Amino acid sequence: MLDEEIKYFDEHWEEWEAAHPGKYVLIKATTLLGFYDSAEDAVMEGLRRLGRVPFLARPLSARERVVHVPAVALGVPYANPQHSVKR
Amino acid sequence: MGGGRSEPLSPSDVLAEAGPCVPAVVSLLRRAGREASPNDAHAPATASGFALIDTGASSTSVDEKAVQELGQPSVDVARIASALEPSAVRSVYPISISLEGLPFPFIVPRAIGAELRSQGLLVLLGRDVLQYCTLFYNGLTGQITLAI
Repeated sequence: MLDEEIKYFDEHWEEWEAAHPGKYVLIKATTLLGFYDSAEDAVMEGLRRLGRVPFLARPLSARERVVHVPAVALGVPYANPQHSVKR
Repeated sequence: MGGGRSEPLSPSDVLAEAGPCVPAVVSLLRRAGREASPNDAHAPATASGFALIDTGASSTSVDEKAVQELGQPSVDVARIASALEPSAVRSVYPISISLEGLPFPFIVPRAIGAELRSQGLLVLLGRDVLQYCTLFYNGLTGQITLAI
């Protein structure tokens, strides 16, 4: 899912980022639908124009495409505190 | 087994064991200016469960199966940074999260899809949401207060 959109994004994102730093892009297939100030704006515009179908709403900043969620990365939302904490 | 007396856990122990959890309802973002699609009629409107407050997470995560059952396709993929293994790629979903006792929902346009249901959770509430909140964690009394 979104393979076509992501390929299209990868081909263009450097030029887009230079022209629209800090923005979010909305893409359906190989059609660029626009640049937006926030993720919420891009998603809401995608829902309004396209409905509940797959589309890409992505930050142009590469840094924002990496998240830090240790519990998900490690697959352990619950570590056992009985073995790691002494009171 | 049997014959032993089980001691009730204190609120402090419950909080230490389960972590700071709040009842939560996840729903889809409303599409302004569009009619409902035929698929919407068959999808549940909301998913209910518990949200664990996770100050260690930069982004909020949602149980992927739950959000797919609501009928929301992903709108991106994100890379999850990890010191232990090559970073994994996860789908990103736009959702709305209502927390019990708070007056209005949080719009989360980039929630990370993850397997949370097996842990008894619906949501891991990350700092993208917590940046709008005040959180008091009182481990001595076993109480938390989350306010906006």
